[in-house]
Amino acid sequence: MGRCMKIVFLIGLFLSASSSQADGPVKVTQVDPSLFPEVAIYVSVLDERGQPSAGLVREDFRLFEDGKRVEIKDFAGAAQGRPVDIAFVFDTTGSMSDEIEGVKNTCVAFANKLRASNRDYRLGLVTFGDEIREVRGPGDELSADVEEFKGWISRQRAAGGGDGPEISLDGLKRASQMKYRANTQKVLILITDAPPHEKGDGTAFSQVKTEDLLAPLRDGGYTVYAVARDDSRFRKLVEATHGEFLQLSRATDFTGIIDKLGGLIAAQYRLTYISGRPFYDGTRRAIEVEVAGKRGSSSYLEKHLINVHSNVPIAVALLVPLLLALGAPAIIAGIGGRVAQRVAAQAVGDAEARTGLPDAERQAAPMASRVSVAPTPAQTLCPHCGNTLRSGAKFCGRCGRTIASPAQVAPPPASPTQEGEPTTYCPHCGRPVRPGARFCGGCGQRFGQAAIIF
Amino acid sequence: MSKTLQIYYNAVFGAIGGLLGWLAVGSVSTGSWNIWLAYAFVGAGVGLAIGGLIGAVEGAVIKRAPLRALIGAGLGAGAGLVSGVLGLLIGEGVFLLIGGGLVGRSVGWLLLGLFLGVGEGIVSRSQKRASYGALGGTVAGAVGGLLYEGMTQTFITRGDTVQMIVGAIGLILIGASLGAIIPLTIFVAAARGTLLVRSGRRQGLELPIVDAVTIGSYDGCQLYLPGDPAIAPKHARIYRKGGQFFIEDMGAGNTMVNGVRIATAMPTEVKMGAKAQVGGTVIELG
Repeated sequence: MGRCMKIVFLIGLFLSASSSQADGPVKVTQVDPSLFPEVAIYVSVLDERGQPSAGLVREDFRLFEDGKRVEIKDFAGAAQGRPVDIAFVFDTTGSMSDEIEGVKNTCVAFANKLRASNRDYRLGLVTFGDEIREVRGPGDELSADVEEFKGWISRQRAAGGGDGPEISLDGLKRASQMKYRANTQKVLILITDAPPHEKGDGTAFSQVKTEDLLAPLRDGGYTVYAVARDDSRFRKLVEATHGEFLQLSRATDFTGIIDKLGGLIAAQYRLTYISGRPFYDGTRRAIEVEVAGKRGSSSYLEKHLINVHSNVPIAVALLVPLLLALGAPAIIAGIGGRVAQRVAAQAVGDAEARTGLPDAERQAAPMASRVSVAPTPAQTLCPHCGNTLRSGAKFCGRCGRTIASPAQVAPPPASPTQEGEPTTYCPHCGRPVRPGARFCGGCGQRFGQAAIIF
Repeated sequence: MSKTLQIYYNAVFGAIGGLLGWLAVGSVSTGSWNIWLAYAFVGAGVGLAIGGLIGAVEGAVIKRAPLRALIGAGLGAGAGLVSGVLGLLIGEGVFLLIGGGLVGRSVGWLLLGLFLGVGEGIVSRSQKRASYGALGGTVAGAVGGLLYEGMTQTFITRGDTVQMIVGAIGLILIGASLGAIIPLTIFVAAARGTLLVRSGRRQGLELPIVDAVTIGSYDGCQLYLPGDPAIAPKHARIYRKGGQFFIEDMGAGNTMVNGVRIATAMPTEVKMGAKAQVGGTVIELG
């Protein structure tokens, strides 16, 4: 390929890529990677007259991930009973009093239509003003019961509100936290006549910024349909989630809007495929769908495994066994020591029994002697000068004469002196000696003046 | 303290480090971050916590010297932080290069272990410790990494809480294997001899001799013998040279080998089974 050809080719590529960004007849409304590497995408297709095209089959679609064709594993059109979970998020403040009856009626009509269409659906409701007012159903579970949903709707009254803006962004966030089924088309329908409060707008009502809501809603696989007065923030949300913005005015024909929404939601196709590159590397993947030569595109953020989440209760629950493991050796050693003492005490007791001491005397014996492992040996005196000898001494520390038969042959004691007594060692053999001794009890070394005191 | 118990404490400290690293790193949501930044962050947090906890073991459990434990923790945390960042970043590069998979996924943890093991040698200024530490760290990182990544992928479709617990247990396992395998390698492969304390306050303590072991009442000595006035801060040194062990009295003048006092600053050969005595403590070479 010549250089000019290459440039022409690249420009062509660029143009085709940029044209696919615009809202064409093929629109990817939702990408759901929650079961990654299985990815589900929702596509709506409009015919030449701009009407939703509902009669397409699997063979009409070609699917690409990162430019590579992937096989459509599962296909569900309007006829296949594709499941859909829908949460209505609506404003019930005083300013809505003109519209609320219309909204209520159309919600009910919408639910009736859903039921009549034999679709597998669930419905939820979040209402708000300057606060979240109600979240239905109970336990955040969406309901499959249209009558229940109608009950929630019919109880709504328009009241309160105070200032102009309301916390519609918080309402959307709250609705997205309800329990949706896996592998379901997730739809949030926002209905409000007020601009949103936003975190940092000088009031304390909202905890949400539009920018912080875009990625979670898009990556969580939600499609937002907004029925509202024109506001750039709603438009951003709708654009990011490939939904639709429907202008609200006093003259709004709610029936028309709900019909349109119903049509948009119903005329969607769900295509499922297995990602060809299941790396879990957290990169963004481009998706393209081609129907009859027309392309629509979207993308999703692949899960990445490095995304660590933690919470304190689990940390505490796991820390407890680890701390126990840390203390276990000490505890085991403690129990072992006590067992050894008890065994030794038993042996002492047996020995006493064998010596034939009367029971009374044995009982009167102090407990200490019963539990001591090694009873203190009788002190040995030097046969030459009467000096008290260390146990195992071979020489007298005072007169230096040899002791004929050391009472016990024991290794040098671990703690050479009583507490508080200065420690003295033989400079010759290093054994501990009594302070002031003139000879080493271990090796018989004579000290010049006295042993070295450290 | 026996070798087994020392390795056990290292493993438990490592495990606690893994848990604390998980808690710290997991309280920040990195889901929307650039992948490289997320890897560096996770590596830094996990490496710091595991390195810090393992670094504290010697001071906290063996020497029972709080200041030494703090110094060890600081050095370990620093080494862990650098190891974690480098390990996980390079690991991610390798992962993308070789085209993913469980093995690719674990490369980052393997490298974290390798660097942490080298760090152990750098801190103790011993080339031999560094090379065996690297070996142990690599094995530990690979074992821990495979366990962690394997568990994460097995439970990837489960609920958030299950995934959270799995992630925590995985990092605990990485910490435990790093804590256990690095000292195990040093004890089993790197050490040419062991010092066994036969009497005194540290009775039962076993220390591997890789290059040299310093003995004294200064807590920077590898064999730290506190509370005995007969032991000088830097009392003696036992080292290995040309296949033989030598003991050198570093000026205290009262080091005994098999009951005979040795000359100061003059290396004396010691055979296996020899008993050296410093102050009230008898040490056996085994």
